[in-house]
Amino acid sequence: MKIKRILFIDDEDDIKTLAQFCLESEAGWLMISASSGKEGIAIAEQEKPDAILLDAMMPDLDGIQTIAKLKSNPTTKNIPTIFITAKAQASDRRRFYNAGAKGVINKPFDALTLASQISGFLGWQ
Amino acid sequence: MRILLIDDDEQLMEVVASKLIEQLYAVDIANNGEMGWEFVLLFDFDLVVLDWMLPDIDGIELCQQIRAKGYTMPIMLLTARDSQNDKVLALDSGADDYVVKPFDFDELTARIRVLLRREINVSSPILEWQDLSLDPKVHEVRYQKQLLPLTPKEYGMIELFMRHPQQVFSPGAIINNLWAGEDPPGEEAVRTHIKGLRQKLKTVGMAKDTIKTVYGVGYRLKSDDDVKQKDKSLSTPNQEQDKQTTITKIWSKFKEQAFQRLADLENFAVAAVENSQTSELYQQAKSSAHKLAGSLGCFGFPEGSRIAKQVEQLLVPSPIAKVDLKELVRLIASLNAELQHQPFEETVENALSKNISLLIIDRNHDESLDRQLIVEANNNGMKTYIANDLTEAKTILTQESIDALLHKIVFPDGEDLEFLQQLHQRQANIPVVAIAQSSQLLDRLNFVQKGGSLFLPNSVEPIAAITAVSELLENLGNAAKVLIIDDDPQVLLSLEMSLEPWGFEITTLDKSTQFWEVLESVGPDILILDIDMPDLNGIELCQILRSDRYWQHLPVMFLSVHQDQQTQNRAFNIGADDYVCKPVTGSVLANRILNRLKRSKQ
Repeated sequence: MKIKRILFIDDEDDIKTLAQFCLESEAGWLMISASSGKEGIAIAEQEKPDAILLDAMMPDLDGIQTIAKLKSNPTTKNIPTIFITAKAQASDRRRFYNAGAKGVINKPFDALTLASQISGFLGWQ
Repeated sequence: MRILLIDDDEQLMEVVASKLIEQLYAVDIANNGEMGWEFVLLFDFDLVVLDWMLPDIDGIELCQQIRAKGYTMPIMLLTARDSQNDKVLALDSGADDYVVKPFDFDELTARIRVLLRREINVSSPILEWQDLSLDPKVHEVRYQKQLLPLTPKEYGMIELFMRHPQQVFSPGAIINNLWAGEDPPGEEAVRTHIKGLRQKLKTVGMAKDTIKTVYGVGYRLKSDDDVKQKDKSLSTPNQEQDKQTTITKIWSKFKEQAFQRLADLENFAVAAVENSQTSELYQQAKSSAHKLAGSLGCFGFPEGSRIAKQVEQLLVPSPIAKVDLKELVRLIASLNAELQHQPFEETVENALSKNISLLIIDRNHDESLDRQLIVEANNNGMKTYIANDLTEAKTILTQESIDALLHKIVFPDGEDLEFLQQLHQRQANIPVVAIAQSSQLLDRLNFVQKGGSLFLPNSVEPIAAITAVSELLENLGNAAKVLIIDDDPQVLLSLEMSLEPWGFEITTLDKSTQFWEVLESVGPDILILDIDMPDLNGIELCQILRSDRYWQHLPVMFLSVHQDQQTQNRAFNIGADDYVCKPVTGSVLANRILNRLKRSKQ
């Protein structure tokens, strides 16, 4: 079976390192990281990952702007995207889903269940 | 597995969601029917939890709408209505389960697991076990692809075992299942059929002891995975430990960064106190608070995330001059103190905590009385929390595991009563004692009708008020007999102590071989079993119990360090009523016991 590759777009290194440990050691996936929306879009285009984890609050391009660009690009529009955010009231969730998100994971996330949450949202089980 | 929660009580749903996420589900929350329906159309859910009373649409209607569209996922309906007619209406409209508010969070998640398991079982009509497959439609059993020539009774027997692969069946149970409506044969007949079946399994190449004899009890399938599975589950707590160790290592790498963010907060606070704050410092502080709130919890500092979130909220008002500086300085200090701990330290403290937690609500800020109450409560081994308004009280109730509530009121007003009612709906096992100035009959009536337990006059001595709280807790357990079996005497002692305040009559046993004698002499109302024990393990004890005519309905709760789904499913498959993961606080365990006892009486 092909190893799943996940792109994590977040400006915080600590969170990404933790996520990398969880996804690689727990689920056996590969994590690619990007530190801004712009970098994320470029990597997504080039690498075509199986899924994208996207932080909602980032300087320059925020999560909503980033997903809009991903969805308008034919190469990246079908890559399922999950928001990771410390800000998820019902109205925020709605905004994320309307923008095309496949799931929303709250920050702080539980490191030990991150992979299973992603799988659940993407129907990977 | 993906679960959708549709309920307008967002605070409540957040708690349910966090419990489900802990159990490895992905969760979405919709706070009205319209959004819920959009979600159903948009994504594939494995289960929907639906409130009956939604702001925009009747839950029953939505349930019917979901079914009318052809969706078959299990639906669990939540409601405050408890009449037989309502239950029938709910089930007729397509719901699979019906849970009455107030509910216990852990029980709700346990019932969700049951529904999901049922779904897995029905979705695949062909039973499979190792290389055996059984097609109930044509009554055929195959090993790999080879058809087994079985007699009808042999077929019935292998079907029984394959449907309950973990269960031990006594000859009596096999007779009840296979000869229903016929004249029951002697046990010898069972042995003959088992022998025939074993022979046929062996002929096609399966191990001779595929059907294992459990001496003195009966028969069960012997899984090759038995040994492997045991090893795997045994290592789980260690794996958990390993993961925490790795997370701690990653934390040490980024610790500096967290302290830098804390410094951003301090810099802003200092500047603000000196009235020399700049908008740059303010923005930096806001961003750092946000980042700390989002990350600390991931690294094993849940309390750190909570405090950082409070700081973030405090920094929202604009202009900056409106920020409550005193509170800001206090929060930064507690955040600093929190970060001096080791990651995951709180979990360890929780595990050792034996205290019961009392929440005192005092909207009048009578500090001297509060102090006396706290002293008396501490003398009685209680941990105390003080809330000066109802919003604060609600926050504490969702974040801490509170066992009892002492509510100081002048005259119970509408707000107090509404609070009480909500509390009673959510956490019915929390006794509420009111200390009230008013002694009007109507006030008393209102209080008790909304779920209050005891009404004390304003003149009550603090010591008497605390004693009243202790007594109420003791009455909850109502001297129910609890038998706990665990091979670690230390664990038994700590469980006994932590359950003591609830007034249970507790018997403990550390040698599982003496199980039957103790069971018969104690006659418990509920049994709590550890999984890993030498000689007979908890799973085996439960199997023995479930095959006994007299004891088979005794509520059984597992208490184990194994958090993996596989072990939990195994326990439920052999007839567990509940499964609680260690470490657990006395109050959580006590509440689970109380709920289980309540259900078994229904």
